[in-house]
Amino acid sequence: MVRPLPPEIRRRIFETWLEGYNYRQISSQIGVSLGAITAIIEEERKKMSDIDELRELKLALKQANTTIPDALRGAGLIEKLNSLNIPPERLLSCITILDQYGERAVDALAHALRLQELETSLGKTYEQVVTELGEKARELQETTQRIGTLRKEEQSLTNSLRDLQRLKALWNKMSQHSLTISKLEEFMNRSLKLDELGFTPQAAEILASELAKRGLDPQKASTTLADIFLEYSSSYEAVAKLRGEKRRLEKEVEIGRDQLGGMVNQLEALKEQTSAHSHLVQKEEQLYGVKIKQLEDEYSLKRREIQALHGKSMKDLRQRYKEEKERLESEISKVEQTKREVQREVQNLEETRDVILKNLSEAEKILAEQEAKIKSRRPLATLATLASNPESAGEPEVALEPLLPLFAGLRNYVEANESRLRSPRTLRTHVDNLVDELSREVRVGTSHA
Amino acid sequence: MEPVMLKERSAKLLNEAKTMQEAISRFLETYELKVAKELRMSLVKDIDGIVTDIMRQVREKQSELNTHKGREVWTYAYSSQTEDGHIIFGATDMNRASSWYIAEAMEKKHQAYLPVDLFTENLDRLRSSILSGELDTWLKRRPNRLLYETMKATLKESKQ
Repeated sequence: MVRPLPPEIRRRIFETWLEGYNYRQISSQIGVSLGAITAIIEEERKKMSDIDELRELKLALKQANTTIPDALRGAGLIEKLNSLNIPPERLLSCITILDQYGERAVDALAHALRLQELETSLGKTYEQVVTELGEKARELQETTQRIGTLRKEEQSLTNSLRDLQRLKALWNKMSQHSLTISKLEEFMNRSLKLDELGFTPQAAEILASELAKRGLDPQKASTTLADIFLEYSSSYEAVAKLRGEKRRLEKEVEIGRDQLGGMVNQLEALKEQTSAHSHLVQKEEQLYGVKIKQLEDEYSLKRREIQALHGKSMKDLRQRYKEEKERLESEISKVEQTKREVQREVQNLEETRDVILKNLSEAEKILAEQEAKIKSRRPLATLATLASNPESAGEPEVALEPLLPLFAGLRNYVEANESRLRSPRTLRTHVDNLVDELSREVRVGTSHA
Repeated sequence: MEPVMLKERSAKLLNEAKTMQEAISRFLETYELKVAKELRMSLVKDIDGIVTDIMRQVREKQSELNTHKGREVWTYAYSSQTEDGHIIFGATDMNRASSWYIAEAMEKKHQAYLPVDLFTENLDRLRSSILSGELDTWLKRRPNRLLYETMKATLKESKQ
């Protein structure tokens, strides 16, 4: 008989099966036969009909990595959501709102609910409601501005009305006193003028009452007063001027006195000087008078002496001098004429000399030029050398050149005088050859190819 | 001697000097003209001597080419590389089509190649120039050098 397994093993087998292990895994894990395990599970199934669902739930929780208490809490939450008519798929957005609003989330939710109610009651969407509200707010702002403007206008009109009432009262007052605007302006101007003059209304009243007491007409009194004041001021000015003039004159008199004192002193000094000078002049005049007298006496004495000595001989001398002078002048004239003739002769000779020198110079120049020309070309010299000393006639092209025109002339002569010559052809041939060879020698000399 | 006589004698002397000046000037002028004339004729003669030799060669070449229409005879001149600067003249036959091209190529080597008609035509001009005195600077230079320079100048002119 098989001994029954202890309750602890049995419970362990059952719990392992509930964990999701199959019979074979439990057998290898706990070391119990497959038959024993099957018998235990069947036995438990008979006791609890839903142990298979329980095992499936356990597996699902295991796969979801959760526990049964958590699952129970989740079930409670779902039930709550259902009661609030919140679908579970919206739970995430609800959590986001909670994160965003924190403690105010409840208020926000309440507002949202009220908004929802508002949408339901108005039968309009949130956007429509917002748009309508925006328009209404604008209208309200405009109305407020209009009211502000109207209030300002009202204030202005109230002020104007107050001014008008004052004006009306003024007008009534003016009418009572039969005052026109021009009269009023006149009064005002006068009042201002009186202010400028320093008259207060009280002072004017006092003045008027004083004048009335004395029975004086104010117009006449003012004219008289003005005249008195004018006269007083002009008299005052005249007195001031006279005083100034008096002071100026006093100063001038003072200065004049000083100057006069100085002049009197100078005059005294001049008088003294004049008296001294006149004394000296008198002395000098006396001395000059004596000297002049002496000189006049000497002059008359000398004059008488000269007249006595030369009275006659001076006349003879003058005559002789005149004759001698005439003779000398005649001789000088002759000499000058001779001198002019000689000068003319000399000039002629000089001119002749110049001509001769010019001629000689020109001739000399021409001869020198010709000499140079002859020397430079040397035809004649060369010919002369060839005749006298042919060995020293120089290079062939120089020595032979003068012969060339001679032999060319000879050729022409032979040609022109053939009939007069004994053997003109032979001579011509020789001369031609000679001219050819001479020409060649002169042209290129020894360098001829 | 009287100054008047002296003056007359000096005037006479001046006249004699002037007469002598005229005579000498005339003599030298005549002398120079005569010398120049003979030298010019001598130069022409020398050039003619060279030309005669060239024309002989031309005639020989022309007789050789009598039936050959594609070729023609040209004259040439070039300076030898020897120190004496000897000028060599002659005639040669050239391909009619390429003759001017060759002449230009040879010109760069200082060789003057001219067609016969151009050569003879310019000879007449050269003779006239010599006899008129235009080329008196050449009178005392070598005639073959003058002919060579003339051929070169003619070639240059013909290209322009």
